[in-house]
Amino acid sequence: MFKKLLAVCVFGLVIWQPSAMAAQSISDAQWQLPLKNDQVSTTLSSYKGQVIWVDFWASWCPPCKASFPWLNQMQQKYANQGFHIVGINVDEERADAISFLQQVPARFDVYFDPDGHAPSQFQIQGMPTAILIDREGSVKMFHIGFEEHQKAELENLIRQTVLR
Amino acid sequence: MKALLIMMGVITLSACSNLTPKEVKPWERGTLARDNMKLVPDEVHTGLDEHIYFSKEAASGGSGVGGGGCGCN
Repeated sequence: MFKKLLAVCVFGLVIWQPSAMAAQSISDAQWQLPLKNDQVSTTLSSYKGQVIWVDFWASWCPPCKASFPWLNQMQQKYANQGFHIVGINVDEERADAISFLQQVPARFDVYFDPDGHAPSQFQIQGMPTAILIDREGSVKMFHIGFEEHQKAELENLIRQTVLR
Repeated sequence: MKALLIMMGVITLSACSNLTPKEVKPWERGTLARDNMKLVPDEVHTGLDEHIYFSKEAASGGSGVGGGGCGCN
């Protein structure tokens, strides 16, 4: 009995991968995700073939605020290499997001998803969440949170992905 | 009569099924993140209150601060 239990545990550990998402490709449903703001109504597929950083953020999330200046910097630095940040705001009230953007302007594309379709589609576990997608549509990184000491590592991943 | 009672019981219980708490998704925490949803909405006010309890009533702790009321800190 004990041996059987042990075998089940070992098998479970073998098939369990914490970063399983990192090896996946973006599904058709995810590519067709509607992205809307006051000027544009498009889908994620309009960014196909580029290196995409999908950033889920909310006005009530302090790490999101901390991440924006760095994201602006990254967008500016790697724009010529086909790097696009797609910010998806998940606030229920648009006014909260607008007030956030007045304090911390975003120099990348921002869309609003008050109904939570996009985070639901990507099974987001926390705020902020960043998903780095390469030119072939593979998920290179699924990152939750934002801390100062992670900047170098995250930029390294961006650099590796745009240079591939 | 018995069947009616069972039916009423089933209807009542099925109505209760709507009362199961809905899971709050990570992107739905805007309301929970509001300042007035904090256990201690005003740190300064709570600090003053705690000081009064400590200095006038010799009581400390019990509100999430260090110390369990033993008077040793």
